Amino acid sequence: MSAPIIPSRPRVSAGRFAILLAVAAAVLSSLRFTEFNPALLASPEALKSMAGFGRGFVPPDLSPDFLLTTLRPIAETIQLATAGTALALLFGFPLSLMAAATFHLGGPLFEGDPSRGAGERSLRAAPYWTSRLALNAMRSIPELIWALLFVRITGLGPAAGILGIGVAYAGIMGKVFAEIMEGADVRPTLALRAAGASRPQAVLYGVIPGSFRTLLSYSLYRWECAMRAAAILGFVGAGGLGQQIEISMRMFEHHRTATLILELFVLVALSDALSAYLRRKFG
Amino acid sequence: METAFELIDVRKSFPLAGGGRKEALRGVSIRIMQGESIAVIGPSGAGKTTLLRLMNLTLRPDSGGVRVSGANPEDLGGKDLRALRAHTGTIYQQHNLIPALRAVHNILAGRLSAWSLLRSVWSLLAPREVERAAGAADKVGVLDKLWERTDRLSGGEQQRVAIARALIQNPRHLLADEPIASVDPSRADALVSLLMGLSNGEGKTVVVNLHDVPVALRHFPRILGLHAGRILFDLPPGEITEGDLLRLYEGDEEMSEGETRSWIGGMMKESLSG
Repeated sequence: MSAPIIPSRPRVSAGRFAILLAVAAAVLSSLRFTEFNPALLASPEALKSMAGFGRGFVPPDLSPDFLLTTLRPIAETIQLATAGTALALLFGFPLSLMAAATFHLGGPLFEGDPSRGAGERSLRAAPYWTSRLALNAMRSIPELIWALLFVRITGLGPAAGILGIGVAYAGIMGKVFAEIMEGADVRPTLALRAAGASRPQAVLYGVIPGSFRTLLSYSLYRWECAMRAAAILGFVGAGGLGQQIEISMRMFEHHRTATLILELFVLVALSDALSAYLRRKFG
Repeated sequence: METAFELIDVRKSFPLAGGGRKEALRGVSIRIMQGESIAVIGPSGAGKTTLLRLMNLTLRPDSGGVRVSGANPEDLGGKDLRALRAHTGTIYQQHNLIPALRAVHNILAGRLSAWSLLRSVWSLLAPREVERAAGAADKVGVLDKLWERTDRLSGGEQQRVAIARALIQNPRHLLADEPIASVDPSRADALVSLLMGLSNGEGKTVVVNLHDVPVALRHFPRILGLHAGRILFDLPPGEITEGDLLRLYEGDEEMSEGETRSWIGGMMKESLSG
């Protein structure tokens, strides 16, 4: 038996190679620009100050009195994340229905319908473009900035944090939801239209159930992210664990900071596990 | 007698991925009367599915006209077009059910054209007209699967749910795209008989795309041969000759000429004896 003739391996194209080089150059130049020097972390002064800082954390303050006072901030963090995600769903989902191109610009909901001219087409495109614009605006401003803006209106406290997460996450979830629904199998929806269902009915029975599990899974993932975001928002006075961490650091109560960070770690890990479990169960 | 479907010199082409267009139908005219049973046969790529989608009004012809129950869909909009679409029930090769919904909801989806949006929403939470859905499920033998999630059903059960969905719609015309393609050969005849039995007693029109020529010749009084987007013949099965079938499958990419010949010869014998 003769040895098989191996087909020649495709070469890396010059274009791809150029892109690779450009990415490498961008990473290196940004490191230079930010003056990030790994050696700094290893310098004797840095090591000494790190050791001092680290020693302050040990042992964490585990006195029952202090632990009891942290229960409320923990509950606040969970509430902040949950209420924020709920608010994001409330705004993000309707916006995603408006932003899904297949609902307005063509796709299974319009196949086979007599065309009604440019007037109707631009009328259909209006909700698409307005919602895309709104979602982009909501998404491009991070939740921290939104929360800082809302603090001006609602004052310090959880309300600003909930609104911050709600608006920023509505932007993210709306866009991702729209993409999930656009990517779903169109044939069941088309079958409903063929049998005489209206467009809203076809969305209700075809598109939404067809994407439901992916939508639910992504919402749970976002709730998990909101838990981390809620901790950061505490630093701008939105309450919760973050605020307590910020206060304890300002007071140089490093033993307490350590406890709070540990608690945050456990909280995020638990919400990770819970969301993973729920996604397995329903997703 | 009323006309169920009329196609008048219909042409339809689709853009190809690599540029250019594929001509799926190149001038097809047919008239199908209410209550007729027709099988459409021809090699894959002949335009059978395109023909079916023009008839259930999910595609529009590039030129030519389509009439359903005597009405021209181009004259209709919104509600009236939906009402006309509800005249026709379609059964798809891939069933096109919604996997995440229970069978009962997939069956009840056939009632959407008769339901208001509010009733449709309500039914997803607390199913409406369950007796009706159960009746349709019973007719096709999946009554015990009514509350199962559709993606937990076997392929055969899903197909029955799809048939129940078309039945509950109470259409005047029933279309089926390759309904026996994914069915065990021993059950193909039973399934076609089921479709015909459910329809003919009530005077429904039945149009079925079939790749299985012997099954088509055995069951249908009128056979439409489609080749490369044109109608090659429109005959009762008794008048179809071996030459007709040879021309129908001429140039089939999957078979050589000799293979086609022996395949068709075998089929002719089988359909005469069967």
